[in-house]
Order: sequence, then C-alpha cells, then structure tokens
Amino acid sequence: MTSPFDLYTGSTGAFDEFIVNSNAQDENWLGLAKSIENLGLSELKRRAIEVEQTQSARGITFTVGGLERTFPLDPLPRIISYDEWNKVELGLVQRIAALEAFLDDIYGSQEIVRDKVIPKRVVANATQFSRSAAFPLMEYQMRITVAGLDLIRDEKGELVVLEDNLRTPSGVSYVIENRRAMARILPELFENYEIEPVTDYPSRLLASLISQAPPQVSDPLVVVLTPGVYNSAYFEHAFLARQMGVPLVEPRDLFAKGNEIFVRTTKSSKRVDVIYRRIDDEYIDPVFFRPDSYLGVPGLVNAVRAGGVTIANAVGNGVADDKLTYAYVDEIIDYYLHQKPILKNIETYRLEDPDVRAFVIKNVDNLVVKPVDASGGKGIIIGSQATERELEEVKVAISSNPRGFIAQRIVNFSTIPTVVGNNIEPRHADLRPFIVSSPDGRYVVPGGLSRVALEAGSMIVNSSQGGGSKDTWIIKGRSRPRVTTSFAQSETASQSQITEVKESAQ
Amino acid sequence: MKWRLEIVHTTKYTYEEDVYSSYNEVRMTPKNTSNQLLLSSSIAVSPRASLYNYSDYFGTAVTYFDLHRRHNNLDITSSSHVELDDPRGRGIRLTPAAMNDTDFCDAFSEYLAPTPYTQIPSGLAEETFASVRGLDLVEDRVAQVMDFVTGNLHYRSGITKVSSSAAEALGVGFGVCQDFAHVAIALLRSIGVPARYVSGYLYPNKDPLVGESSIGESHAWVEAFVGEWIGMDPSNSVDRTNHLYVTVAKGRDYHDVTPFRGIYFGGQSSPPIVTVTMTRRA
Repeated sequence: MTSPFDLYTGSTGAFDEFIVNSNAQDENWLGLAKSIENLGLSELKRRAIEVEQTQSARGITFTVGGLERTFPLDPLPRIISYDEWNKVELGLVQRIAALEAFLDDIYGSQEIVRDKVIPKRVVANATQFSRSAAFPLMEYQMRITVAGLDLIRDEKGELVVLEDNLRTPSGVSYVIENRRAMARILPELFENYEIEPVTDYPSRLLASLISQAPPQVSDPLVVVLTPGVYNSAYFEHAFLARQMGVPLVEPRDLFAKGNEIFVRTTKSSKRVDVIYRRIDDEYIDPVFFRPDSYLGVPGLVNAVRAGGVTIANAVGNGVADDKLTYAYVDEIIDYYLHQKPILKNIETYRLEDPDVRAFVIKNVDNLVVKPVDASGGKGIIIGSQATERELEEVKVAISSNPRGFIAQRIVNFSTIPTVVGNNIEPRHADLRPFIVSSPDGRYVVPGGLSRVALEAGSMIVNSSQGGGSKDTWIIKGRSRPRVTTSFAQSETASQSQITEVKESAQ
Repeated sequence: MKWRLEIVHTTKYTYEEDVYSSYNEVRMTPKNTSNQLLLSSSIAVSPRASLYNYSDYFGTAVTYFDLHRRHNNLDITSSSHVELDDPRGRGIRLTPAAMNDTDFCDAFSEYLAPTPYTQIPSGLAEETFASVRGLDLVEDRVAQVMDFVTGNLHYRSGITKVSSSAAEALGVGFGVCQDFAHVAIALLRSIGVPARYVSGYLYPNKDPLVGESSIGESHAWVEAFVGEWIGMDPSNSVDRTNHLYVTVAKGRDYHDVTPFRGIYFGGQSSPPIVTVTMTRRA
C-alpha cells in the first residue's frame, strides 16, 4: 500500500515538522504516518467530515467577515515532544510572570521607567496605556489571568514568540473541542499515545477566578461577561460559561451600585464577585472609556478600584502586549526576574530611531510591518506579498507615526502536513498556547491551538481571517505505536486514557 | 501676595423627565501646589448619595457617586478654602538645545505627544517651529507662541463645543478658554516645549476686601516647562498666572481634568446652571 505521506516533501525554506522529525526516526510522527497509511486518506476524510457535521450541528462556529462558519479542523494532528514542551512551558511561565510584574510596576511607581530600562514614551504614549487603570490591585488579584501567546517555529526549528496576547485572547474552546473531535476521528492513536490532556482548562480557569474573589466572600459568584451573540467568539464565551458551570451574562444584565456589581435575576439581584470578561477595555465602562458605548457596565472600573469586584483580565493589559513593548520583553524579564529569557523573540525594529526607520523604509519589501496596538492580524503588511500601493502607504504611515508601528524580518515559519483535497500538503502553522495565572501559580495548557493557513504558501493563520486549526499533541514519554492492537488488549493505563477522553467527548 | 479664598462651586442639572440611575465623577477639589495650600474642602450632592474618593493618575482628587432613585434634578456643591500666593519660580531656564536632548524628551514625553484635543495640521506645526528657530531663549519662544495664539484666536462663546479640538478652534478663529488652552498646548508641544492643561478658577477682582464675594468662573489655562513649570493664561493674554488662579487639576488636555462627567439613564438634561462664588477670607 502506498502511504499518502510518500509524496510529501515539505516546503522550501521553512522547517517542516514532519520531514525533519521523520528523518530523525521520531516514533510519534512515524506512528502517525503509519496509522494514516493503514486507515487511508479517504477514510480519514470521511471521519473528519462526519465529526465536522456534528460540530456544526452543535453550533461550534466562528464569525468571519460577518458570516458564521465552523473553524475547520484539519484531521492530522501536530505532535510536539514532551521534552521540547517542558522548555516552552517554562519559557511561557517566565514571560507571563515578568509581564505581570511589568504591568504592576507601570500602573504603580514606574520603577522600570525611572531606571531607564524602558523609555517613558514607550509606556506613556502606548494607545493601550490606561490611566484609568493606574491603581494597585489587591494582593489576591492578577492582571493577566489568561494569556494566549502566539508562537511560531523558525527556520531552524525553534519555537519563538511572535506576539503576546494579554487582553481577551480567544481560541481555547477550539483546543478542547478539537481534542474531542480527534478522539473520534483517530481513536486508534489515542489507544497508543499518552497525550497530555487539555480538558482540565475550564476547571483550572474557574479555580483561578474563585481564588481571586474578595477574601471575605465564602461562596463567590463568578460570571462570564460577553458582548453578546454577535461577537465573533460568542461560541467560546458560552462554551466556557457552560463548562465552568457559571452564568453567561451581557452588560445589560449587570449594574454597579455603591462599588459593588450585581447581576439582575428574574426575582431580585445577586452580588457578583468575579467577572471573567471578554469585552475590550474601551467598551467596558462608559464612565471612563466610550460614553457612546451601550456595551459597558457604568461604574465597573470604580468598583474594581475599590475592591468590590475582581475582573479578569484586568483593565489596561494592552500596554504590555503592545508590539513596541514586545521589543523590550528580554529587558523586562531581566529587570524583574534577573533571568535570561527562555523563549526568544523575533528580531524587531524600533522605528523611533531615525536610522532604523530609514533602513526599514528602504527594505520594507523584505519586512513585516505591524501596527503596535492591533490584534487578530489586522493592519499587518507583509512586504514580500504587498502591492506597490500598500508599500507606499505603509512608508507614509511609518514616517508620520513611528510610534504606531514596528517592523520584523519575515520568518518563513514551519509547515505541517495538512489534508488538502485528496492530498497531504505542507501548510504554515503557528501555535497559541494558553496560560492561566492565579495567586497560587500558573497552569499552561499542554499544546494549545495550532492555526494553519489554508492556502498554499500563505502565512496568515488568524481565525478571524479564515485560517483552520489542528489539534496539538504533547506526547509524554515514548510512544507505543501498536496501531493494530485492539482495545481489549491494551494496557490498563491506556484504557483509563481512553475512558477519560470518551467521557469528556459526551 | 498671600491671601485666603473661599470658593463655592455649584452645578445644577434639571431633567425634563425623571432620571432613574446615574454614575458620576467630580473633579472639583483644589490641589496642593507650591503656591496653593488646600485648607479644607467638601463636596455635597443632592439627592443624597454615598460619596467615594480616590486620587487619579494625575494626582487629582476625584469624588464619585451613583444614584438609583428616580430624580429630576441633581445639585453638586464643591466648597473649599485655599491659601494662595504668587508662584515663586526659581528662574531655571533650559536652552532649546537642552530641551532637544533625548533624555529630556523621554522624561516629558507625556506632555510632548499630541492628544486628540491637541491635534493641529502638520503644516502649522512646521511653520511655528520655523518662526521660533532664530530665538535662543526658551521664554522668547514661548512668548512667540502666545502671541500667535492671541493673534489667531478670538474669545467668543457658543462657536466651539466642549468636544472641539485645537485644529477646529483655529479653523473657525473663535473659542473659549478651553480652546485657547488646547491651541497653546498644541503649538508649545510642536516646538518641543512640554505643556499641560490646568483647570480651576479665576478670581475676577484684583483688590477685594476681606469678606467681599465675587462671582468667579471655572477657567482653564496652561503650564509650560522651560526648566520649571510656568503658568500662563492665553485666553486673557496673561503671561504669568498669579495668586488669582486656583488650581484644581492638571493633565494632558481637557479629557484628563473634566470637572464633571457621568452616564445617566432617563430624561434629557437642560444645560447645567453653574455658579462659582469666591470670597476673600484673609
């Protein structure tokens, strides 16, 4: 039998995760290829379509350009070794710890600015630097309860940080749903691989939120605050509320009174202690931000300031995921933790320096230019793929507002085998791991959301721009690739693994 | 001249139909500064509400409250006693070259960057810079900017709105103290002089007797950093503020110091009736 992987050659320039690992005789990747060979690509696709139809029926959707659609799952998982993941996990925890300290500092005494580690203007002129949020938190509160960082694997095969998302990162519901779907698409592999589970996430998040309730509260009320059904990530808001067993509320369900927040119920109202909010800062409280916003809860920011309620994530985190701040993260880690960064950044050009700016303008067709304060891939110009007109416009924009942009080299990031039509083809993919922080410690979801650009050669993976996704497997220890072993013959450990996955898939 | 003033600032809102809830922030408590000592202050609100206080990013005392009973009027009264003196500067002056230094620009970046209120056309910024380039003393440069403001903007109320930017005020050529302050700030920043917005009160009478009350006004003026902060009042063509000026709040522009802001649900409000009574007490 010919394997659908026989014709797979990877891509030029980029690190292909299958080619490199299978050449190195990695048992996990080879086991995956063998399973697909045994199963046949058409059977794999048939199963994937069947699962996708049930997903669609259950309303797992993402809004793209106003149209609802499912976030297509590629049925070939991505495999990351346990050893590599351990290092990445340490790097993520380190980075979030440093950024948490940074936020506390700049919304307090600004020692990092006084010590000239980071210029004052980088902080003070960031559009997301929120003077309304410049107050200390209570000791039981976190600023970055949930972070979703974007990593890419560079040409040498190293996972590096592309972006920090510290405001309202989305995508974790797809991590959990993708795992459930994969357990139905490739149950054979779940028998043989010890895949680190991701279904703990909602309980970890809930535990963190509860631990951040005002301490005098014995039975805290936690809610998930969504802008409403028209938000692109509404599915996820509803999903997390359901998984955590807490109410899903919209701003109109909440009101502030005397520094406390209440949720309206059919009969009366109940005090809310912790709000996991998925509304952007600028719409959260019209007293402070946009007075024209109907979305916000007036009085919320002052209730937070007074300690009457906790919101996660805190207001004002955007200054720490500003892309110019990103260019200082190594210094931030060194300043607060006295450590060397475990995860690398991509080389970034700070455009306020006139010489650097001139260099970037001259070489813009070989660089990526990004607005410092946008998320979701908005406004990004990839020089090598841009039109003449786009390049001219970006040069003008950089010259008139150097603080508004950064430039980076174009990373030809890694490709992974992806089902395209009746073939398996290389597609670029990034990785968004999720980190939950609480006063007691940090939890990193093993793996995270791998987002794939569905067009050949494309490097745009954002779900909001029509990318697809993959399940990401962190495989513990050595694999036992016995693809023909039946369920009854497998070991006890594997059985409990399957049971766990099947239960959560219900 | 050292003296004491009592200030009573009342703001009265009347609503055509009942308002059933509101959320409000008040910035009406005078600051302590090098030439102003706050002796006492209080804020009273009718209908009665629990009042909460905090100090904001700029060090301004903020009072906030929310109302949840139906009401058709809202009165806010801020009363304070302050001791005032003329600012006694130390006469520190930087050279324009020193103010072009990277460390200087960074330390004052907050007061050098334009805000939505203080945007001006880039052509005007360049012109202004060209017009001061030949002047060696920063004070002369500041004076040149003040001359430009008073020459190109005329005091008239009712033309601009509270939301008008410096560019809009310059476009029509008329404005109130808020517009004069925004235009002056924009131009000062464009020539590399850090500038900030000051809100407060101006005592209208130069030589009052003790116990004499006058009708004062809420006012806005500007501070520029020339080696130390100096105050100036472009809408009255006053090149140094003095003991007649009571400082309440300082910030990058009007947005940072708004005396009263809030959100309410219910009937439309007529424009507020604002009275500032200022009485010499010593």
